[in-house]
Amino acid sequence: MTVISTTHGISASSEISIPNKQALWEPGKYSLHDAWFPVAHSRNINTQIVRRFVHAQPIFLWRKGKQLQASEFHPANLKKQRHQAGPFTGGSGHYPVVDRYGYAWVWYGNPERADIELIPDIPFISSVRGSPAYANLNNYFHCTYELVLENILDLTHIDFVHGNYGGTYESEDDKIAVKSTSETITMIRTTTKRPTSEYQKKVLSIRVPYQDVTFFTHVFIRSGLCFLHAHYSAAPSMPLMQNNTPESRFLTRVDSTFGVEQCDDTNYRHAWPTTGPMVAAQDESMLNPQNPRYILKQPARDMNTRFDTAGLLFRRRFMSLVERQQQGDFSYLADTADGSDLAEVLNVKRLS
Amino acid sequence: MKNKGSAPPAISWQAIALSTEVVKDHPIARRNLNNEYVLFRNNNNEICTLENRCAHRRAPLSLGRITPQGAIQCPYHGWTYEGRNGNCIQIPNLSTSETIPQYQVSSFITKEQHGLVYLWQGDSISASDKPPTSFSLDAKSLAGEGHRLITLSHPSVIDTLLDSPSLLLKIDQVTLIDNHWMGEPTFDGRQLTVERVADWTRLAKKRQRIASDFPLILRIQLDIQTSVACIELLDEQNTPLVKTLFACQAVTPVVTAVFWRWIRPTINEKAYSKIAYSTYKKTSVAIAEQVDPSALLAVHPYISSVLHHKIKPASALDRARIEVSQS
Repeated sequence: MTVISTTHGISASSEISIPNKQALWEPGKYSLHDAWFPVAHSRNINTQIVRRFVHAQPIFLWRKGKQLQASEFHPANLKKQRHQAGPFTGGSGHYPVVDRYGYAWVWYGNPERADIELIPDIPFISSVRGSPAYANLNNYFHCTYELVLENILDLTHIDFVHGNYGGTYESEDDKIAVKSTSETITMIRTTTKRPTSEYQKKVLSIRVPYQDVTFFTHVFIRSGLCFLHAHYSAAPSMPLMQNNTPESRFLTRVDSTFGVEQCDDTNYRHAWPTTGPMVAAQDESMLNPQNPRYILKQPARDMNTRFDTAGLLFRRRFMSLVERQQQGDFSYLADTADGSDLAEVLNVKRLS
Repeated sequence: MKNKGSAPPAISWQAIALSTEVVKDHPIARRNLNNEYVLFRNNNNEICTLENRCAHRRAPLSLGRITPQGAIQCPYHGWTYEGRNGNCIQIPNLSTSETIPQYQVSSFITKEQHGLVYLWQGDSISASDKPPTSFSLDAKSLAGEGHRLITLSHPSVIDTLLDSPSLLLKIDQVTLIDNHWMGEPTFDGRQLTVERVADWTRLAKKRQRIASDFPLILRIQLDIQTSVACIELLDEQNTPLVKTLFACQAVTPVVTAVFWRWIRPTINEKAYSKIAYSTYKKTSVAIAEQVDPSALLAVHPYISSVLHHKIKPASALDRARIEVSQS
């Protein structure tokens, strides 16, 4: 595992310095294979046929009895079109699909390598019963998923774009630690004496003007799945699972679940998930105009500051996976197990 | 979106009129970037298309009349032309003993298909025997049709249809969601297909939360050679609820003629709720009179960029490959 720490942005130890000349970053150009994608909330798949995509690969979801089915073609045409089935369904027309944590997980890659053990162990969602409906939200970002992940790993935007929910940037101390494996990026930001946000004051009635806050962000590079959590010294909080499914280069689907059972405050349990669409809209206001500048324009170099360390690490890890997959190596390396205990990574309680 | 103002592909069929617009009673005028045309039907009910310029003093033949013999007569001096070949067959001032000179106006090849009249843009030798489009439309279910001029270049109309169909296409009872694509477009070099979600307007207004799934799909299949599109509104069972044949043709670099014919295919009433069925029965299709320029500026040209080869279609991307395992 690679660990980088910065204190007030000064690189303390850095395996990754910000090079003057970086490789061109071309989000949307590559699709990483062999991963489980939580493509839909299970509760949305009943009698209706639900359509999803992963990297523009079509997925039709429905139930046969209680059993989830995922196919490459509309079920009405499955028999007729089965001969056209491609490598993602091994020529069968059916994808490997698992119903777990309230999601339909579909394997995107060679179906022979679909290993259920690669589905993350999520400590704050019941693997069998999922979550209550009010904890589930849907959103869409009109961009390629790499930009969403960079946004999630980008610290400084939170203070400006989401300042009303999370507090502004004027904290006394601000430490950042970035950890990574070949498959994940984890960022932990610890701030002290951070101003209590307007939302916390007005909606949650938090009286203290300042709080100590620790933010946790854990990103799975192949699938775009990420987990977020923030601990406030006074305000309540809850973790969030946010899939960022790359439906196309223009649309990233978010079917998120809040870990409401981590929080004892009943009002907050219901209030916080309702902010999801507004927070997402704040991000969308940046991601939507960003996307054509990457997808439709000639590749260009981005300028960076020390605050972009996590995002640059993500780019490097992403491209390492691309290189390996281009050479035919789709395996998960031994370091995948490092930091795979999400309860520890996010500092949350494990559901009993 | 760039206003390129360039002509559509030169050698192809181009829609020029609705079949119902071309009648025996009177000629109609049409134009494109290349020429001005007069269209009418002769006594065999065949569509005749000639250059809209008399060989004599260049008067527009479209201001003339159709003779009882089914020929077109110029309003200026009465020169009369046979519709199929453009040969001058009568000059009224000549005496019966005089030979009519071998004068002629240019004639053009047209073909009718699914209620649209297509004009062949190449020479007569290369005129294709194939029908102008492979799209079909069941004329028995015809619910409506229309023809409109739009102040937008032909390429811009195509781009708008692909990138932001809601700016052009108005389907009553239905809210089109331009930026919720179903995957990415497919493009085989001739035909581009793109799918998006759509919603029943009455549901869209009531929705309190962002929907996970939408009840409708808008599928646009565009034949780039002919600028004809088949636009289908489908339910989640892939049943077409509304099907529209859309065609457009450049009139000038900044004016485009748009033609549309739409049907509401018969569906199994029992498979739908009462309210869903009655909403379906109220659907209708029209093309907007104007396109909002500020909305046009906000459009991201993703789909048209595939068409213009500025970005590759998803299937051709330089993506990591997986080995095919059929074992």
